[in-house]
Amino acid sequence: MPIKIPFVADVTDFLRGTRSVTDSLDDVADSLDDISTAGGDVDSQVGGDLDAVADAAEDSADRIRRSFRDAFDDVEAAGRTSTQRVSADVDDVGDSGSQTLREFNDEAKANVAETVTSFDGSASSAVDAIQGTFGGLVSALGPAGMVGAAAIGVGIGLARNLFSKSQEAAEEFKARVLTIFDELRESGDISPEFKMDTLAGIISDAEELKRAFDVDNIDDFKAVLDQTGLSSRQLQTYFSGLTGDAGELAGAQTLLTQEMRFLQSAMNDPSATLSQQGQVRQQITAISTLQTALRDQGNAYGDARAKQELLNDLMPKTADATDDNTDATDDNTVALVDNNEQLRIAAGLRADAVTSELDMRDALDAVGQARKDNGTSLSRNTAAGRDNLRSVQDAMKGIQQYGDALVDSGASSDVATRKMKTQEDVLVKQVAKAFGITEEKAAHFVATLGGIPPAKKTKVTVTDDGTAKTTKDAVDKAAADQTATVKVSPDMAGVDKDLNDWFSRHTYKVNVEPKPTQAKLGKPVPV
Amino acid sequence: MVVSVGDDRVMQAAVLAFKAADRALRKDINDATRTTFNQPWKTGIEQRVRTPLERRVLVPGARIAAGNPPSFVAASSTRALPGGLVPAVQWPAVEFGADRSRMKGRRHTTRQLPARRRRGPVFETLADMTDRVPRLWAQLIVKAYCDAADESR
Repeated sequence: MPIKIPFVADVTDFLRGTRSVTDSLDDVADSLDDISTAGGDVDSQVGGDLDAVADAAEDSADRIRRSFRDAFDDVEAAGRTSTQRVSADVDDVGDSGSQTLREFNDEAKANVAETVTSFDGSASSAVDAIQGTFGGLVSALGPAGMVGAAAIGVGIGLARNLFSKSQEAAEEFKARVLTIFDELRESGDISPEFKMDTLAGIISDAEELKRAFDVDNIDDFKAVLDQTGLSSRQLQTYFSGLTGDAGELAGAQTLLTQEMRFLQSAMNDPSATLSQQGQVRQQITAISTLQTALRDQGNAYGDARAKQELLNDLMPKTADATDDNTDATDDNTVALVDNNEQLRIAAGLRADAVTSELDMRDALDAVGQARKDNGTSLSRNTAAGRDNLRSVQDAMKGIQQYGDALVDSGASSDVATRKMKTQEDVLVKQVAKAFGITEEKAAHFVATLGGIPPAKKTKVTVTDDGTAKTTKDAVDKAAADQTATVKVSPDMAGVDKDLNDWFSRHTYKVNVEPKPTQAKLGKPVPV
Repeated sequence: MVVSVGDDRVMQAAVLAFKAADRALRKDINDATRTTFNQPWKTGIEQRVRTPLERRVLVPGARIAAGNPPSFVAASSTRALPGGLVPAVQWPAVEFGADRSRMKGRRHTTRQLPARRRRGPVFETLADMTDRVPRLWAQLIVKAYCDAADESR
């Protein structure tokens, strides 16, 4: 399970305990509807009858109070742990003799009367009306103000519906069907009450009746049901399909299709009388009406289901794609960091190479300067001569460091050697010129002081396969005038035999301690 | 750490108002909730992670799941890391750490995990947000109602 922490805890228990409260708040909303209507009426009358307004306001206030009372009673009946405090508040408010309730009544009446007279039919006026009515109640009700606060929310929602009803009317039925299926999917099952509610919702709304069954009122709808000639069991199957899941929908469709086939065969029966055929025709028309409603429902469901399936299908892919992207980004980041590190190192090495070259040129220049400062002496016995010798030696060291830096910065050893040789030639010419000697002598002199000597002491590491022959070949390949350091992994074949031979030529004395089970070998003592 | 609705009147009003809202309004509230809280939640965790392991385990899938009430979600990736660790399952070891000296035979099996701690990046972020977020959510609900009323004028 991933980390999932709700903003607020215990909500499910709380909502379960207050289910009836929100239902009762619908009644409060109805009362607000009345207030709006009354306000509209007053607005339409110039100099309206204020007494009548006051009566209407008082009626509305009574209804609101009753609705609240019902809501509180329901909460109390629920009596769940999570709503215990609400229940305690309700005890206080629900007591008809309590001060809170008296304040509530007075406040409601005063606010409603005031609100109704100032209502001008606009949305902001409606919101003002609701807040004017209930804003005071929240404080008047004290601890039970929570319900009042929720009522404000419901009231504003009502105001919204009130003014946008005409625009939304066309979409209402579809939206309701979609909502139904949303809830079906969320709940995972369908309770009988839910079906009844849904069905009641459909057949109690004139617009939905018209849209779904092409009838104007519930009586016409009943007439259509009668005309179908379906049994109550068959009708139950039909309504289950109309409000249920995909399986029930398919069941209802099958039922109507079979019934239609049966009726069409009855229609074509030559032995049927005219009145019988007329009755069958009526049945066919009625059933086709039901079929149309079912088909619309099926389309809406299919649409919703297809969207859900698409969503279900896309979700893991999206998650995977997101993960993939994250992985790829991480990999790229790591690679970039590595690359940057390599670039930084390479840049540093190149900088070292440049620095070495500059140092080397300084050292070469220093040879000329030393000649000027110290004269032409190269004698080791004079300070001036030693300084001159050191300047040449420094120049040679500079050339060697330059070569090392070149190799470090990635140049091949051939290139480095060639460049070093060039610089050494430059140094030889410079020494020859500065100290007035021939280039051969200068070359010998430079080589003596640090140039590539005629005899080299070189460290050679031989990687062999453990056989003496390879090692010997490797050593033979090294020049005869070189001193080679050779790492040898000896060929162990034959060692066992040598050891056995050696042991067979020697006698050992073995010390054995008294405890036979813990016998230990003592040091071998040659005899 | 999380506010209980049983103790908080504002939250009771909020969850009731959310429940009473119609479909369109619920959608508005959910959209506003996601827009408002997704970024600070995810950024908060990202800023607190210290190691690549924490980043790869805790950050993927950090989001706000809308609903009544909405939820903070993190470490929801079910895709195993190269070593086999599945973030959605084994996040507690990374979030709360482990006894790093523990050995299995001759192997230090927990040496790569952080040391034991009361809170990691996720719960630190949660502690930082949990007292303000529910109240802002309640305000979003009220605002959604008012906006709806304005639109319908």
